[in-house]
Amino acid sequence: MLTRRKSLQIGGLGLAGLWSAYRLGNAWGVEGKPGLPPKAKSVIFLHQYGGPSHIDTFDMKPQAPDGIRGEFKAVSSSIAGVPVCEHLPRWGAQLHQWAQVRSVHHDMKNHNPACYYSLTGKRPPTDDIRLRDTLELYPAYGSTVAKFSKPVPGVPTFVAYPHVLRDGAISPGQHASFLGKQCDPYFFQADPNAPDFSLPELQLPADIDLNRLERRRELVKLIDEDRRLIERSAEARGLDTLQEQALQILSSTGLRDALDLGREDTTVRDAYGRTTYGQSCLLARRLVESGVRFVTVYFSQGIGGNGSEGWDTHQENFKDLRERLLPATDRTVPTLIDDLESRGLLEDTLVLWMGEFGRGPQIGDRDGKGRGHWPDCYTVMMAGGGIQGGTIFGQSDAKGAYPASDPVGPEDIAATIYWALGIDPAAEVIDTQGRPLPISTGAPIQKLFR
Amino acid sequence: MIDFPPRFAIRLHRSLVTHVVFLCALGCLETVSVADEPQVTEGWQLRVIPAHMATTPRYPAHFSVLSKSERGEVVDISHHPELQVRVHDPNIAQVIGGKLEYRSTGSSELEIRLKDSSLLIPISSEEDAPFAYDREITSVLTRSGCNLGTCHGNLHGKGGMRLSLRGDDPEFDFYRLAREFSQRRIDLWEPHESLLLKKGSGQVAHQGGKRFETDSMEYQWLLEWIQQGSPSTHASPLVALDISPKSLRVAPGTRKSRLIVQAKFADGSIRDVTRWARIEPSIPSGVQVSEDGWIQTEKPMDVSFSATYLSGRASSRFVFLQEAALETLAHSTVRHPLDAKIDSQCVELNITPLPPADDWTFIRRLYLVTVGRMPTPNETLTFVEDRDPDKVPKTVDRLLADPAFDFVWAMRWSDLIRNEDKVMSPKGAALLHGWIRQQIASDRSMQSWISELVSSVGSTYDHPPASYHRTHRDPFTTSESAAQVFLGVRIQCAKCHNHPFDVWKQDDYYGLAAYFTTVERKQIDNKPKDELDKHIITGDEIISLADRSPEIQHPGRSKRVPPRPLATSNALIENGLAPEGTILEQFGRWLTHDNPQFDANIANRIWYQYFGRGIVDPPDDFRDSNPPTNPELLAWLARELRNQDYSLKKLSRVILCSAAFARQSGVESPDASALDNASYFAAYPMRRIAAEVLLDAVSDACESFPQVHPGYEEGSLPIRRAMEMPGVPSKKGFLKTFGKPDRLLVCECERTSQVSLGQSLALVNGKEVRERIAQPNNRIGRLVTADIPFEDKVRELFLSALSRLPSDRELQGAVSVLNSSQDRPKNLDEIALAIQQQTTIDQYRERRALEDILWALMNSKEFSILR
Repeated sequence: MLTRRKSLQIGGLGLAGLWSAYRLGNAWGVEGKPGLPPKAKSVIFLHQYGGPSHIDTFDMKPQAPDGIRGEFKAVSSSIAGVPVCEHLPRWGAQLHQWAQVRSVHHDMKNHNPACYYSLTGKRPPTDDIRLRDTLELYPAYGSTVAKFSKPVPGVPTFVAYPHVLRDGAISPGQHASFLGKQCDPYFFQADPNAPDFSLPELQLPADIDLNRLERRRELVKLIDEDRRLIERSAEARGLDTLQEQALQILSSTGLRDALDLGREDTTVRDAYGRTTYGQSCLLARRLVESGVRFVTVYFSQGIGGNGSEGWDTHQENFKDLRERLLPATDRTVPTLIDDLESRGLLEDTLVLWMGEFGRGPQIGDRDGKGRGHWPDCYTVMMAGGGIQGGTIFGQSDAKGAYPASDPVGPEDIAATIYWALGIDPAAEVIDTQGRPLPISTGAPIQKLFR
Repeated sequence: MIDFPPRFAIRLHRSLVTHVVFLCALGCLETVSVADEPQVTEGWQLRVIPAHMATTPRYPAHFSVLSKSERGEVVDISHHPELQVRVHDPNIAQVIGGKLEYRSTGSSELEIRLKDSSLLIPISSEEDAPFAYDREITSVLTRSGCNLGTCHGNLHGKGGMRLSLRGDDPEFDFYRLAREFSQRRIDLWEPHESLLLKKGSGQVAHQGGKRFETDSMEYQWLLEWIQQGSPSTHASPLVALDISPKSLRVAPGTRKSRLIVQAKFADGSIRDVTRWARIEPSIPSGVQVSEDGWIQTEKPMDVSFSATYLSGRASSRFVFLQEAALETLAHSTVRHPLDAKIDSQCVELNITPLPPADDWTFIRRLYLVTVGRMPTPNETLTFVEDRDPDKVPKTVDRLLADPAFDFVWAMRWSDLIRNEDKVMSPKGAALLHGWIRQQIASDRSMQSWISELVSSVGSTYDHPPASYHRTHRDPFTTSESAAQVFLGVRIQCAKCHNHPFDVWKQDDYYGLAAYFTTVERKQIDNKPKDELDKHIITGDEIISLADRSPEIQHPGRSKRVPPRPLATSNALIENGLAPEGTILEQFGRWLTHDNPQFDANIANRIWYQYFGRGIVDPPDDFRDSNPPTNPELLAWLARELRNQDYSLKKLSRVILCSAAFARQSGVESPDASALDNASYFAAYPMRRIAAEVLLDAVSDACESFPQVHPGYEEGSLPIRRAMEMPGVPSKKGFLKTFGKPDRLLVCECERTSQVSLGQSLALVNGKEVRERIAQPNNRIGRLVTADIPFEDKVRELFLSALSRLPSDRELQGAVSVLNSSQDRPKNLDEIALAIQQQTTIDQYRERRALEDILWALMNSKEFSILR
């Protein structure tokens, strides 16, 4: 915890001042193509592993037969004529702030490859249930954004938490891959909802106070000066810059304050919901505020189902959604949007809510009460960041089984994210084999934006 | 470097040219100020490229006039104001705007005159062959970028139109352009209205933008073809593509030169296709190539250009020289023939080799690259104080015999052949690692053990080299790995289409893969925890060969093809050995025997280990457009490797005892406009030390090792040094952060040395560093109770972390840390710790000061950089 005395010492270190200059407002810093004006400065990417049912949430089919329609009632939302699930009342009241893409589809039926597809916009080479995470595969969206962004000193460009997604094996698409470690997310697994939530590497040990840290820093400087390596080598300069950044993080307020949920009002914390997901989303807002460009929040570490963790509702689909998944979601996500809006952040922050696929229209998987994997058609939700609220892009057919109009692939979702940030979706990066590859082969869905 | 036929050369008279001024007649080039240009003086010779010129109406021939000094440095003088150029018979051809324009069919001579010196070059002037779809139209598509992978030239095409990558398959493209969708892309009645033309010239919306103007040759040719009824006509096949010059050393101060691309067809015709070739520089920035082959650079550079035209490829290397230093070889010593190769290139490139590094730097470097650890304080002092003139070879020999040397190379090879625990099982990984160490320790011929590795069958537990076919599990990955690891070539692209940047064809890819189609794998006692994960194999695996003839489906040819070695102009040809033994043994012999690419690659890999940079770099990317920085050096090393019967230790000894290895590390040029010394080994390349070495260095500096490394708690292996890990442990936080590869790729690039914030946090405040510094009975614990002056304790810390003594200033800084410290135990925990360690207040203060010093040493840039 930062005491007042320590704050004063930080001033003495001469590092804290650097923060204010890079707060939101002048931190666009994207090296895009000229003529590609950014719609958003930051992205909050909410990923629900397991595959949320589109038919039971936003793309409801009240006219469909029993075996498809499901148990939930479609009730009216804040958009006339657009119903929403009865178990998402708060989100429904806010639906006019969201755009829905109801015609997303792909052909990966297993979680790991589909997850990789949803995290990168790149079709995996095979539908291997344990798709291996190699440096040949594409980087996470946030890593690509980091590659094309000017770094903001003192905060990482890309932060991801609080789970490592895995289904038997670690799901690919969660790191920078061939873009290189400098584009990796700042990642942690600690639970923001835990009472003692803190990141040990960001906390100095008890026997090292700021005086001692400063003493050490002076010594490093003395040794570095002796061989003048920093003048002589770009490598050493790179190390020095990052070391400075690490020391800044340790000895100043920016990132640590953002991560200190204790500084947040109890009512705000309660409003987000005292869950890992709720507090993670609150943290996302704090990080965006501190200048982070891309925040990825993973809902759960596993695909779940069976009344735990994720959204893989093969069994007891309706019970699980009604009792666990939808209430938690309805508590948190609308709060995030309201909070961003009330702080004037929503206009510059693109929020995405999605999973790796939807769920099959035919009820009856496994225990007869579940829905199976369904990549052939599902819904992606977007808000903020220049999105025209209330837009419905693409239609599914009468059963919610296949796109009926404007089919969209994960490639296009990727292109939309990059385009919104002012990054040319066709921009090329070089992979480990020296091949030039486009960051996305899709087309941005420009109709979603004002 | 450049070789002109002597008949084109004459001597210029002394008084002829004193100042050369480039007036740029061509609008695309900027005027360069006179002061920047070199003077052409006595001894310079007049030259012309290309050597043979044929001009036609459609393909006018370009040429360039050069002046070459006695040192072989060249200046392009095509724009010299006093230069006179004319064709003897103006009815045959005329020189207009720097090119020959066709007038009528026949031959004549081009006369180049500068004052009273002249040069005659025979030329021919010919009618064009009929317009051919697979030459004119294909080259328009390539030149306009339509068939690039990011546009229409990929599996899915773009906007509904798909073309073959870079015009690889003209038949396929013909169908798409002229026939698909009821010929919707062309309009034979109103050719100007063709979608192809309107999209390409941006008259209607085109996601790819405007590719050419309506008054361009691209537009005219497409139009002409449509007007003729879009026929599928064939040109005489292309037999060769040439770039003139093949290589060139451009005189210091000059930033412009020119290349000309010529295509040779089967009917004997030669055409200037500079305008139609895609010319790509090996360096992405700071250099531009204009449509007619003019190269303009921003600074001195060594750059290769690769040209592609239809199915042809050619490359050319230009060195834009920097000004010569006064005494280029002042600091040079030649200890070995390899040093002479480096020196002679330094003279050629006007590079000054750096003087030898001091003993402190040298011994640290030598230990890090050979045994993967820092020398102990004693080892450092012993070497520095040794007065024996042969102390370097003496130390090298000792280190080559050290078991740690085997670990260093076993790690390197384990990285490359993907020795990881999931597929290999921890036991299998350890066995394979052990087998490689034996090969290194006994210095077995690399030809012999690599051949055994790729051709072994049987139980991977009883006969570990068979594991090569356990870590690679299908014909494609096996052959890709064999090509990349053992030959240094990347053939992956040729799986789906002929390689766009290299010579490899699909025939090469599938021919090589066919060798491995009969390999069968049988698991013994396989009990993976996760049955769905087919990448986990827990027990032994038996590799065998099925009794059928090996062949593989070649998708391009739609038939099954038999094994065939890589066979291209790259000199990878069959070595004439009669097929003998199993198919894998045949492969192993072809791979390793009389295979110049194997020799070059292995020599380059060994060099890479000791310099951190290949002569071909990256070391697994040999191709004509990525040439060795010093071809003669690489050829010498490859020959030496072969002469020494593929002994790793003998070639290592030569390299490690050379003057090149002993040089000071690079200093960045102050004006950033010089060639990089380290690329030519005129300086020792600076780099990060590897993840494992770094972690062990922290342990060594602190004298504090873990009981066993995380991930090896349950195994029978008490692994305490990261260098000794046979596979990749599942828990590898620190090592992963610093770039230890997962061993899922065969690429050297999987081991990364990129910096990250996570790394800095790990060194500044990470658990590994914190725990080792704080451990009570570590090096600091020992020093605190030792009865020696504080200064000597500081010296030991410097020696253990940086392999050198502190400077006076550093020593004072360290002492002042102790003196200024008013540290007392602050809370009950600290007091309890102090009591437990039985320390006095003085010892407590000293411990804290030494902790700070050691922390600072490990966070100094010098610590994690190998220089």
